[in-house]
Amino acid sequence: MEINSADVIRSPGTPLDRRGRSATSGAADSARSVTELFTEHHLALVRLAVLMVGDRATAEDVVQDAFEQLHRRWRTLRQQSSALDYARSAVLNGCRSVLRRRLVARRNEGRIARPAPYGTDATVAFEQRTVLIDAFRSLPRRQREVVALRYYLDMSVADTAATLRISEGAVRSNASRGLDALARALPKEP
Amino acid sequence: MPPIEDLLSDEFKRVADTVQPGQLRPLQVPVPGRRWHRYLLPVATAAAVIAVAVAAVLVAGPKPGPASAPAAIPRYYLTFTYVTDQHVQGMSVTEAVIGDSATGRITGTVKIVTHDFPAPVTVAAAPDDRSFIIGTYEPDPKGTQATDYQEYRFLRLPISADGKPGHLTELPAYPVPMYAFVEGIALSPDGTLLAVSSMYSLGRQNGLPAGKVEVINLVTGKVRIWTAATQQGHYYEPGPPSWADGDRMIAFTWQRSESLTNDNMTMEGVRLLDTDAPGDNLADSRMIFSRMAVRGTIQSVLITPDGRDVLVATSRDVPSGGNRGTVIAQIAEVPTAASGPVRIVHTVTARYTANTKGYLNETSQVLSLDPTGRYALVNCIQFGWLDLDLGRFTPLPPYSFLSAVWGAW
Repeated sequence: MEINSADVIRSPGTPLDRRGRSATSGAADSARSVTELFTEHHLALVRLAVLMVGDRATAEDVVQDAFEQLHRRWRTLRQQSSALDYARSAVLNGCRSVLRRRLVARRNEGRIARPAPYGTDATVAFEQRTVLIDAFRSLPRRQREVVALRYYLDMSVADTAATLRISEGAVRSNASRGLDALARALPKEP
Repeated sequence: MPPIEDLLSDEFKRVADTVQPGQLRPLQVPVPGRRWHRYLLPVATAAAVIAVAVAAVLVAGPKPGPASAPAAIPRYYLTFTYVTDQHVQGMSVTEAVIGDSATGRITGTVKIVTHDFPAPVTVAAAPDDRSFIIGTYEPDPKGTQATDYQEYRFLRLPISADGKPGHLTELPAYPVPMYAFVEGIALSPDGTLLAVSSMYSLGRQNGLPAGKVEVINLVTGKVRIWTAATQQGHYYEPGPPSWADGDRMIAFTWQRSESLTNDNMTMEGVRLLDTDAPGDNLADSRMIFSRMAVRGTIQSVLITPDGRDVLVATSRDVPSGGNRGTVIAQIAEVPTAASGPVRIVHTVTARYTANTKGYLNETSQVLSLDPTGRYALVNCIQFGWLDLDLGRFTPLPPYSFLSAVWGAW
């Protein structure tokens, strides 16, 4: 069975250095540094992405893409000590893209085939669903990100501002509005 | 009621804890090359040549030193084509096609006659770069009833220096029941040991299924067999073998059935068999990495001759299970050591269609490595060869996309 070559969108050969052959010390160093960062923070970043997008498979893909970006740009990072901030920002950017794509898909749901439910992640997704988490995921993007960084990662206002590249005042106002919205979403006590 | 901040922190922690460390894939990175490298390389090469020439003159007088030829791709590769309009005594014809690796030019073909169509052929390249071992079922084996029994036999195909095929020579018969299926074969680097992965007793009437890896000594005819027995309601299937560490280690994929009566298989990962170790239990082989090591579904693997890496062909569709979007075939290099990033060597993306999805598993294959482990014959939606050092893909005939091609070099 064959298909038209027009169906093949791209076929990039990725330049690559292998250990002991054409490896350059710079590339090897960046691979080592990114690997160390990955080992240390992978789980936390996947958990952050799960909070944002709601399923593990997508969260893993987002974090994987973030580390690929980080690896490609390692040598151009102004401060390599800020790589974790870069990774967090890349993860949040990736989550934004996923959520944007889902929004577009939902808008066009009537016109295109509905995707199958997330197989093995269905149980996990169910476990994650509560009024509070649903309300969190329905917050506006900026409020959602600020709330996650402040109350999941326990980041300071200054660090949150630096990661999201917004002012500290914007962090405070988005956190306040987000918390108000979440409090309103909770069922009233009798 | 506690403050909203505390409620939120507890909820975040509960959701985050649904992700546990053992569930996650390792890092995969395409290691970028540098543009200056291409300019630096000629300069470095010229400098090295001058240095060697000067050293040779100084140390050994005017005699030229031994030429250090760059590693080269194997001269010829072999693939199969299924000829629908040809029959010999009512039986189907499969052609083994020999091609020049540098140009893709076909240098010769050999007809293989089988009952089945397409023929269940396997192939391994010999290290001499001048012969191949082809495996297939014999239509009417001597002294047996073709209706009840077939032998899987191996034939040596020599080729001349200009790529012309010689006569097929049958190696000692190797009985595999007709209800078994040979997954793949591989020759050891010295060309004396043939590793065969197979799945026995696929018919329910033939007893419990059992995966086997067998090593045939082509010089003495001696055979050693490792068998994976059924365990706790599952059977196990080893994928095509590949050799590492000389003629000692054999790597293969490892699939587990859903049940003894269900053919649905789950890819578990890649195993390494130490043929120097005692015993005949295939399950005693070591799992060197799980399916979680790479994105997508592992379709086939080849271990590099030095045993340091495993080349893995994978496929996946994005979004997963969405019946739309994109299908991705990828070749990655996974270190056999426990740590280290997975290197993405080659990626091809295609629009999701019934064809692309349906044929992705057959067209995402690592087929054969050269003896140095640098050049790989692959099918990554398109057939061709990969320079693993540079991540450069060169297509070979047949040039069609999503066409399942089997071969070796």
